[in-house]
Amino acid sequence: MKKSRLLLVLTVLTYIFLVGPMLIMVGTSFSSTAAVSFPPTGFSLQWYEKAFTLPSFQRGFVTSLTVSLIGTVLAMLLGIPAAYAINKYRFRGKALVNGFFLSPTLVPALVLGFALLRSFIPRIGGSVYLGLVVGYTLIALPYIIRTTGSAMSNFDFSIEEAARSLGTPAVPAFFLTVIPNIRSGLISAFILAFINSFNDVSIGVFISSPGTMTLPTAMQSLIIGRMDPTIAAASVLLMLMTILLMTLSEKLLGIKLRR
Amino acid sequence: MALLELKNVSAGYGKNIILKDFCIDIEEGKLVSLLGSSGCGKTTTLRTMAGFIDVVKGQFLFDGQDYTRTPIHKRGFGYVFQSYALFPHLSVFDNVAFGLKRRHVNRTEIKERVTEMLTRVGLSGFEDRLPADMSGGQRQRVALARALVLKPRVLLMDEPLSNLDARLRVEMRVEIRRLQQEMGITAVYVTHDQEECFSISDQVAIMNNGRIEQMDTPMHIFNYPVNEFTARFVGFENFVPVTLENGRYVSASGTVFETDKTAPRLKAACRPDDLQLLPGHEGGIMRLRGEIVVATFLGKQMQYLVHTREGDFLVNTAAEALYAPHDPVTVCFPREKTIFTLDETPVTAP
Repeated sequence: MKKSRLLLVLTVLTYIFLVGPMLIMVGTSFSSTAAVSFPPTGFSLQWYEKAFTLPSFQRGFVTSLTVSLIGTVLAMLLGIPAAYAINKYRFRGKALVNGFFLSPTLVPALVLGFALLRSFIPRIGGSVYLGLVVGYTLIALPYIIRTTGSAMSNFDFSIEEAARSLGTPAVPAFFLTVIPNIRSGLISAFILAFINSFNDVSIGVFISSPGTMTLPTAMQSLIIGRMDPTIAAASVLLMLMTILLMTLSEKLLGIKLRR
Repeated sequence: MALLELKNVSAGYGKNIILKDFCIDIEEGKLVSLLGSSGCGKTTTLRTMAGFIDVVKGQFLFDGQDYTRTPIHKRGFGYVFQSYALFPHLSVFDNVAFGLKRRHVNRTEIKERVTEMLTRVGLSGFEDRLPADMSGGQRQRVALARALVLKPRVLLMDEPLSNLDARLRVEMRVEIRRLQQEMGITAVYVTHDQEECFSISDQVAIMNNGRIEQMDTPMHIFNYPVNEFTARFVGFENFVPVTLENGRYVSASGTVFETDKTAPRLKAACRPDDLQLLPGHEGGIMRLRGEIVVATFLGKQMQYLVHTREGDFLVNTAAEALYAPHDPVTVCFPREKTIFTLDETPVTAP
């Protein structure tokens, strides 16, 4: 009895520790004064209005959305064939290839961002946009390979051979058999990789220009300049988007699992 | 003329070459089984014919045409997998219709042919089921229907019954044989089950180590195995090496064996059921002196392990317990039940 009470206290403390900052953020975002304080004073939606209308946030949102989307799509185009080869074939150095593809997770994103800034951006004529796309492709790739790879590890490749023996060339056979049967893995890989890219700060902080910066970077530069509840409102919106995407992927996977 | 022909084919997985200089001829309309233990190359042979494995060296002919480099999807052979490999996301109807759709057959004809094929395999009314909602036997019928609806000239089957229970296996092999004969298909059937293979095949190729040890009708293989490997495979368990001396075959202990063969070294072989025991020690042609080691009651029969100077032999006799351990006996090789195989010399396909 005593033991379980201790457990309860610990659990509550952990929750406060985890959820507390978010609650403060949510509270602050509805504040009617410009000071970031908790508990909030009054109630207004003015900071949300500001978050939506601030030009740097608007541009940042569009930039983040496009570079994350393009990066994730590119990572899928690279990652799905890689996962396919790793799962289907036995070849020399397979473990090495596998480790190589997952290596971006071992390098801190900060280092990746710095490396891209110093060595890659100057060579491509200083295009920040392209630099971001490449950075997010790299960040997304391991997620794509791991998630689609584990979906493929449950796939019986003789199903693909069956399609071949029934008169289907190699590429259509892949799309008619492998893809439909790993669909749930593909969706969750896409959403995971996209959220990760969209919320990333480490790469965006290095690769930015006054005209082109990601939303998290725009938010960060605003914090440095001045501190008001606009940040809180934007953060709440980002949180909501993430929760929405996560729920969506759970739902989609749930439906697939029940079949 | 042979419909399927592998000519001096070498094939395998990467650097692991399983078939070396492999040859086989399969005649049109026949059901030929490839029989052997795992790793003998039977599945490799089948997958090479299907095109799933690339031929490293040699030639694969189909109906006289060179098919060595023909891509899988252009061969038009039916293939039935051990795991059935049905499309899990498609209904039974769509599974069977898959090949027809790839060939752009019009919709009415697809419906007609799929319905007819499903009726033929006893699955009409199951059109809308998903494979996951079906039993093993039903899935295998779908797999057969899916391959056969395209009316292939060749059907390749890789241990299609090994995931089914014993009763269903017997039922399905009769079914496979019926469909194969009705549709006049040439079939290659891979299995490690001797009974299954003998009951269904026109011809059996016994494989070992990437080679064919013997290829013949089931009855011929059963009665006249050409070498020790095949003989052991079909139940010959007692072997006596004999050598030709002065026009007669003599065993190591000096017993004479009689045969029309002329090779310098042979092995006399006999099944446990066919050997005979006589009480006491008696000499004579094709008789060996021995002593009972173990007597085992098998229900219908008694089995004796008899020790002789030529080694130990297994003899099955009627169920009365006539002998006890240490009893002196004579093992007789009946002339009409004794075969002579070449001694340790593998024979390749004819």
